[in-house]
Amino acid sequence: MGKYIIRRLLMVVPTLIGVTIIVFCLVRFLPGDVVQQISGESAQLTEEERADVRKELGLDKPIYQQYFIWLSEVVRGDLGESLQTKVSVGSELKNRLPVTIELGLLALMISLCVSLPIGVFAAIRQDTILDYVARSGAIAFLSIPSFWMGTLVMVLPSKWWGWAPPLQYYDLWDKPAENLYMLIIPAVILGMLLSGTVMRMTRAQMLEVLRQDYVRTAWSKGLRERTVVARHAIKNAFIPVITIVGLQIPVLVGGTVILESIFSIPGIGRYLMFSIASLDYPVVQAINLIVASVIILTNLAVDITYGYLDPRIRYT
Amino acid sequence: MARFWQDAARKKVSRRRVLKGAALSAAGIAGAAAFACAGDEEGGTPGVPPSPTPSEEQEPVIGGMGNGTMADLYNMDPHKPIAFLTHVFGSWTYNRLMRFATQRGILPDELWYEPVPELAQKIENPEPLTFIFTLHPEARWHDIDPVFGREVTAEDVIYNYERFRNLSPNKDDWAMVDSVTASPDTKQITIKLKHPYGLFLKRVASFNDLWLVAPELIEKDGDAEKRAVGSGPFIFEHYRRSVDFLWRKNPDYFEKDKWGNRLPYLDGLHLYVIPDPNTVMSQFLAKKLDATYVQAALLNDIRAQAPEARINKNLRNLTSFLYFEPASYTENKPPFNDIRVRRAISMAIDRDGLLKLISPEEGGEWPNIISAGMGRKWWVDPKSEEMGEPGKWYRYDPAEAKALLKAAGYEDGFECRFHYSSTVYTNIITYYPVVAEALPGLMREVDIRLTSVPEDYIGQYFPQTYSQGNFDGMAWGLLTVLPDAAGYIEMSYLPWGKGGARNMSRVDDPELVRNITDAVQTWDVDEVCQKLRQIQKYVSDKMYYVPGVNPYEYSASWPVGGGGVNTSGPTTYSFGTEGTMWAWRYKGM
Repeated sequence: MGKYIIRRLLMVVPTLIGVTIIVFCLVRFLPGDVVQQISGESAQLTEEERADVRKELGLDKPIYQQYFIWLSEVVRGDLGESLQTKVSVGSELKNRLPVTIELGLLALMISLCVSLPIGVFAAIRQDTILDYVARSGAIAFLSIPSFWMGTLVMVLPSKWWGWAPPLQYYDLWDKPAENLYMLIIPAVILGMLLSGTVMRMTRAQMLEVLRQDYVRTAWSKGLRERTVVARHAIKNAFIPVITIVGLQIPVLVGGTVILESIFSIPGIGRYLMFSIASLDYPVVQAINLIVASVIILTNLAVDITYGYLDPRIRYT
Repeated sequence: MARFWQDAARKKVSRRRVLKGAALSAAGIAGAAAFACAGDEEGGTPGVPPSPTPSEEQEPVIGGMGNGTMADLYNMDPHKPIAFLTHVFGSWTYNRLMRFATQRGILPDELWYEPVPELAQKIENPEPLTFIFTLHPEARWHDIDPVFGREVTAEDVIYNYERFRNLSPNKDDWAMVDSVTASPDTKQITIKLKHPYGLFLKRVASFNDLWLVAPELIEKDGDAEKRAVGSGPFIFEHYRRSVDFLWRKNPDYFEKDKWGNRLPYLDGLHLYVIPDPNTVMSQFLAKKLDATYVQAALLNDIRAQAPEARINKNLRNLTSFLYFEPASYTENKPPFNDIRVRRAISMAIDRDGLLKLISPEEGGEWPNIISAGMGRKWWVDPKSEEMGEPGKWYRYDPAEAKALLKAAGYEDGFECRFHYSSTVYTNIITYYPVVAEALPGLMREVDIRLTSVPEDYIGQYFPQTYSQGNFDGMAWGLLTVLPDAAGYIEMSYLPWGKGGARNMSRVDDPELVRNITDAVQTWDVDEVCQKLRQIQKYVSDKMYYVPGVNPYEYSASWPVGGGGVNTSGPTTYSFGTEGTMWAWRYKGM
């Protein structure tokens, strides 16, 4: 197992390098001239002045050299400086990343708290009203885009009751109640989006497991339903569910970008959008590096969890 | 023609239905600071109940926070960028030597952009080319690091002038200045001009130019990009990118009202960065924001849902043009080198139809190079008799436009590209995208086939295409708000690089340059005005750029306070010193 983890960790490196190369090149293909952006919108620069700025930013070097310079700095823990604001990207991310992580974790928690029990109950009460309601709910959650739900939650209460979600963001450690008050609505919306898939997968897997011989044996031994389900069925049914939860992380990241804008949450999603528009290469690269790392490591964690949940799986 | 407007109307209806379904979803603006509109009262718009507005004699209430919106900044240093948002931001923190007239309620047209003292308490003009500005004796920098409340001196103004002259993209605005010196007593600044310039004091008051930054800040930080320390009515606390801006009251601000209360009245100002217009409108309806911009199409919805909100009507001093590719003038390249083609394009624009589409209730005005938002004294109405012969090029007449094209050798019309911004103006200037969508249809009516080239404003349109004159075919653009009529004419028609910072098409007309130079280098302001009016007629005839429309625009504010922004007509980029400083909140609201 240890060797497997090490090997997988080593595989993370080329994957991340691949991702960073793609992002590094793609952001440079965005239309617009970063030199003009930095120099001021209407600056009338001569070619010489333009060249000076490019040199100052290191943009005069071949792209592969620029990449290696950036990579060597990242390896040393330096994510660079925003081209627009001259503020350290690392310090900005230090403020924003926790916000997005908190929103993501809250959404994930809500999603799991809703989808797992309902998925299990829908399976063990197959073809009952509960099952139909759960399945319809799951389809509805999957069908409703988070940006639309977010917009409705923002607009309708203000129209009907003169109420709108909070505007002022507070740090979790300073004012936890106010912080939660702001994040809970987008977290619920995002959680709903995720829960549809997880609920359906949980139900399907539970149904399959409940038909297995060992479960039938458990029933025949006269065990109570709670024991059969909790001790024998759930653990095996959850193996593919965990994969699905892991695969939801990119959906979660995408959802936070949109919901952060709608609910004015100062996370990395809004920072990323702003930076793409302003051709702020170091910021875009840093955020993509972080997001890619999170997704890759989540997948690794999912694989490792497999081993714990299913002893038959051996990593050689 | 009929076909086009039928299509446009159909489009509009379907949009409205969608909007209704989303319950005001598209209303509002996430761009400029809206709070300062709180006191900008409209006089009697039908359907608007009278709002509690402060009388001239009503003593203001001290305290309370103002809440509004503001867009993200790229740069906080007021001397570096041309971007108007930086100047809006600076207006809460910094002073200028002069500002523009302000008063409660509706500001009469003749006072629009009238320079009045701000940091300079007294302005003297002992001889024609010399101006002496005496600083307010109580003017102090903010009581924070690195100046800690020291007095503002004449040397500080010199320091800022030198920095502005070296760094600012707007430095040509002060090209008439020969020298700026400080008096030994540190309170007087003497400015000598190279030649007469009747509108010089408007340049001194300009919100685009000489904001006064604490020199120690520049010395210590190298620039004013990370902190903002000035002598203005509010002390800057923080800017959290994509989150918010916070200012607290400057308790030592030197200006007082007539009751002796030290300005500003508010305890502080909190401006939120809200990119989503639905969120802005929702927060406004929930009374968490004091004001917001409103699309004209949604006025009735706002009135129904927030009957007690005050609706404010503005005619912005913002002009819009169709610009032609620079080669038209620099290389005499067809088709836009032909005056008949340019006139035909102007005659293909149904300005009244567009205004009805944009602002159904009030419509708006037709601009030429100067708009009605500058003040009617400076604007030659294209519909007026005074405009004379060139006025006919503004009239919507597709048949005559086709005849002109035929005479120019384009019987079957022609094809060209049409550049416009598909992003930022959609939120900040809500009529821009409507016109951008309508223009290709209008041009098709006279067989000019436009291929739309939508571009991202920040990444491409403004820095690459529009401001550099780097486009083929035509570009649809807005000319920024300037505080004087001469500025528009100089920037648009003087040679590129020699004062013509907005000469996007590289118009090169020696006669026009001579006339502009003669007009601006005149002392008597009324004479300047008359000469600029003549120039407006001349350029209207030449149609170097084709003017668009100037619609009425709306904002909504809760009647929570008084004071407010300086005018009911033009909006400026200096909400801080001219608007918010005078705003207050009623107790308990």
